[in-house]
Amino acid sequence: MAVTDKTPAPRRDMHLARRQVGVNVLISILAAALLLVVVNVISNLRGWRRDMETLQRYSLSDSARRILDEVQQPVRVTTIYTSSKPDAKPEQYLPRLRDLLEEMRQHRPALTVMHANSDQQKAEILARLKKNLEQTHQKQRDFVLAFQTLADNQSAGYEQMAKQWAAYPAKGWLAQFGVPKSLEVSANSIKDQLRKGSAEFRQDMDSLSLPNYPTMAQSATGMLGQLEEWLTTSVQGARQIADLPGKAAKSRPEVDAAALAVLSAVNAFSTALQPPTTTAPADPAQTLWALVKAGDNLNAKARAAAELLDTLGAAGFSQATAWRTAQGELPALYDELAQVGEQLASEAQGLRQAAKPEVQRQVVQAYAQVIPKLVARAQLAKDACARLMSDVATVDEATAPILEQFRKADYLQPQLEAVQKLTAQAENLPKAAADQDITDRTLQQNVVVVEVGDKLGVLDFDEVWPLAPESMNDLTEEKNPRRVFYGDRAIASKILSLSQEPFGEVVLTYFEDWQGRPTPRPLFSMQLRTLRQQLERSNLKLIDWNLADPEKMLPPPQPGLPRVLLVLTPPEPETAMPARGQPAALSWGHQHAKLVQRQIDAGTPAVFLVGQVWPSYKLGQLQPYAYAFDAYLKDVWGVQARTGMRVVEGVRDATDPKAYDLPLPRLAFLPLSDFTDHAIGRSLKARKLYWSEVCPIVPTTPNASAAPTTAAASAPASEPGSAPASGPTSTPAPGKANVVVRSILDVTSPDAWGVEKPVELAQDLQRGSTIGPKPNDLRTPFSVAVESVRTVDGRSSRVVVLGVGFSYADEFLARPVRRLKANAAGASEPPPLGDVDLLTNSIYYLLDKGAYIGSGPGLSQPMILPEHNTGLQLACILAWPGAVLAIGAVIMSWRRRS
Amino acid sequence: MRKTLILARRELAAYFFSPMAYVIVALFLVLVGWVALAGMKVPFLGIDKEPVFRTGADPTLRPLFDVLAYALVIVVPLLTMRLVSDELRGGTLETLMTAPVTDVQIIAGKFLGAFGLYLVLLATTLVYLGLVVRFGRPDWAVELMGYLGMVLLGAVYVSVGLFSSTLTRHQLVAGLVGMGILGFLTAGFYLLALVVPMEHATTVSRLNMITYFGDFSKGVFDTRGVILLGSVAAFFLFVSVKVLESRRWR
Repeated sequence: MAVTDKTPAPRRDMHLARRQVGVNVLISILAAALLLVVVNVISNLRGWRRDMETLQRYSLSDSARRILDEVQQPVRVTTIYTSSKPDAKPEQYLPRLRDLLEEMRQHRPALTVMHANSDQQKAEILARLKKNLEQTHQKQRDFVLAFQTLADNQSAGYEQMAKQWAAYPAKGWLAQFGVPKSLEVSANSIKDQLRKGSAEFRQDMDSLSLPNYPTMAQSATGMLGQLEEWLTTSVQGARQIADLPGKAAKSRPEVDAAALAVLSAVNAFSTALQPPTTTAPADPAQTLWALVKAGDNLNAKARAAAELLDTLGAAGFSQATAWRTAQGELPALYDELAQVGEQLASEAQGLRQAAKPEVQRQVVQAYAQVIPKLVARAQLAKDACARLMSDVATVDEATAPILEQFRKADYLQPQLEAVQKLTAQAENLPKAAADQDITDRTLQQNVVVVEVGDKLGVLDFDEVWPLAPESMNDLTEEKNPRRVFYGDRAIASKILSLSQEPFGEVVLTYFEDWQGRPTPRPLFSMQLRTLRQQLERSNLKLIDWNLADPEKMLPPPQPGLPRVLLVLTPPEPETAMPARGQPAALSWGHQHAKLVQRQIDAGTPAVFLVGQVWPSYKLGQLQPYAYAFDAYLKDVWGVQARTGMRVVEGVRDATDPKAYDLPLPRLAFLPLSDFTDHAIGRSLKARKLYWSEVCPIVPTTPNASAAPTTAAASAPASEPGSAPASGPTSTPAPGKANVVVRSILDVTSPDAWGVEKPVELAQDLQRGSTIGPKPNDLRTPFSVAVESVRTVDGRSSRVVVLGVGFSYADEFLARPVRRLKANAAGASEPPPLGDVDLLTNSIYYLLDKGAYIGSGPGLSQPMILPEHNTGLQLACILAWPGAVLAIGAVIMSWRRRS
Repeated sequence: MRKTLILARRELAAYFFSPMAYVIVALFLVLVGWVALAGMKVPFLGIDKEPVFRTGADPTLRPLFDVLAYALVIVVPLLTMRLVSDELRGGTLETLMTAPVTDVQIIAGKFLGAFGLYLVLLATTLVYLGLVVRFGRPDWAVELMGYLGMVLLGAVYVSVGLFSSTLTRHQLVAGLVGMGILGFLTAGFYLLALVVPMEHATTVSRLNMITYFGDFSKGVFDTRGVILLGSVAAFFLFVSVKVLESRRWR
């Protein structure tokens, strides 16, 4: 309100008027502030937002929007970006993520977004997640707590037990069995193990980090198993030992008699050798005969004694100190005597029949020299037996009550029962996937935690911010490799996998008979652990179909769960004869191919994984690998996988434009990113991916007479209106097939080619020769991944053929990529896990879930500055500010003059 | 309106006939040049900007704008501090008030004059856009949005500077008060968002003028940003008018 009346007023009126104006001003300012708030609240409710950027990098992808629209459960996304590493600074990487999550929140207001920037906030989030995990793994947690209680209770008892045994007299009855020491050591060890385990669990549960209850429960179960085994053994051992004195008393006469019988049998030798040894026997044959009989007798008696002792040994006597003599264990002594008796009898019999009397006499005299030693040995064994029986039978006063305790049925029984009860509880725990992965990931720096309902997932830094393609990094000296933002797809996929039932079932189809040969190439099913994990994370269910196992038939598809076959390259038919004694290898045959074809022809879409396969020696000659589905793919689907070829990209020689070098990193990691506009590859265009043992996939003319094994079933048509990138198209006639082949991934580099004879290439490389494309090699451009659509009477079925070879093997996906920089120096990048996206996209596409194919990171054309940009520096820092000052000076001077 | 424009022209001319304006603009350009060539890191405020002119960088002035959004918190109050306080100190405000112009016209004229200088200041960065075009292919929509954001943010900064100038006859105090208010509206809310409970952090960070400006600088047009920045500028202009109005009765 403007006041124009300037007439002086009396002082009192003036004061009132001022106050009134002041109040008016204050009220109007407050009203304006209120209006400010109201206007902004309304605008927040009805805002309009549009990403004007050409690449639309700051908009949610259609895939992410769809996922957010369809998720039913509450979703909470928490960023924990607290890294202090220079190449992972939150201030650099968090804002973009915040923007994305804000976009997500605006699209789905129910989405809760939180950012933990400080360690305190991180601790807050971890505490909440911890509570969440406690609820999710309630049973495992209860079990761990029960284990802790048991461990705390029992470990004190074992400690006491160890002390008692340590105090046991060194010459007590039990000491001869080594029981006190053994029990002391084992009780101490068990006590330590329980206490350590319990303390570790307590520490894990009390610490700020996320406790991994399933793993802790697993570990506790293992410890309980050991404890149960020890207790069971101890109880049994104690009872056995407690019975020994009685057994010793009972068996003593029998043992004494056996020992005496052996001694008598040995003494019988002396009798048989009468007259005395110094005199030669008059009738040596007679003497030898007596020796034969004495030997047989000794053998029988000594063997009987040894068997008796063995029985006692098994009953626990073998633990006694007296069981062992300086010459060996007691049964061994008698075994030895039995052998001597047998040997003597045998020799005497031989001599008696074949030797001359003179020789017989000499031998008899020689035997006479040996007999006293034999007698001494028998006497020693007898004494040892007597000592053993005496030692075991005589229990000292201090030990008697202990043995009485051992004999009782409840010795260590309460402990054992408690352990058994808890072990039974462990068996009934729900089968929770070990969340080691989640716990470990959450403890990393710069992670995104996604919670959907009661499910929890974690995305690490590389998943949200993967490294940028090679060409981008080459420009930036690699001090801090450039990263691209992949959060849209990564977070949306995580929400998807946590919120929805599987999109479909992927049937991993292969032929592997590990009893025989050959090994499937270039991939076999056991190498695909990483791939399986990645596909499962992409909300797909995996089942195996090993064609080599005739008992494992492919189950019928579950209702509402569409299926895709993922067909690995089968091995060649086995032609070699099996080795002697070995079963014939189960060989891949036409019937197996038919099984797969029947599924595809019945409408199940398929992805064929192929790649370069080295030729093998057959009948002394190198024979190229014959791909089992070659004819089928050519005739029915109009594509040929050139499995004999290998795609390589050389480094052009600076002096000879036709010559190339092929460094090892480039041979092992082939960089390919020329994705077409096909829906499968479009989203991967901005990513540089590395592949291994890639083979070309070329279009062919399908055989008009080739018919599928059954009539093609209905399958949804592929993208309507999309034109084929390549491949033949025939005019569809009634009942005739129209096949359209479209490329997904091309090789376009002029320095790449398909090598027809990889063996020759390998030899050239080994020799150090320069290489280059040969006349029969395949020149670019060509495809390495295609889709083929076959339409018969308006019904379409589809297959995708990926010639990506070894690229999905664990060894490849888990290995850092070695690559060459522009200056030919080596560098490494994270493992090429992005390769899996091509397969995931293919499966999504074939399952008609193309809408979930997320967009990859968009990349703008980077700026390229001249090497020497001093002019630019001068212009920025000096020239332009200087020019402004100069303009100012001119104006000042002009003004002064005028 | 004519009177407002006359006042605005007078203010703008006063800037250009004063050597101080050229010095401030030159210093501003040195800062801009430095950011363009070397980037800027202020971890305290979460600023970590790569240089604009760097091989491999995106061809955009976005890093420059993001730094300027904070740098102008200091620069703009230096330019606006004299707008009213100088008149108060020299006693010319009374003369102005006796002239046949309303308080609204006075404030609007002074705002437009200072805002004109701000636009000139902003226009000097077009030279850097030219250099970006020389070495790369910028996304014009993003650059346009960036400039729109800078214009809206400038309106807020100038209005706050003008408001602080109406509060005191001491230029330096006015400048410091302006910096303080702008510091609270930008860095203050940024820091506050770090300490409030996480469920309120997003709302608090949205009160930061630079948050919406950030949307513009990355090429996102958001009506909420336009309304927030526009309404805050209008609010401070309104309060400036009210402060001026109240001066008549002191």
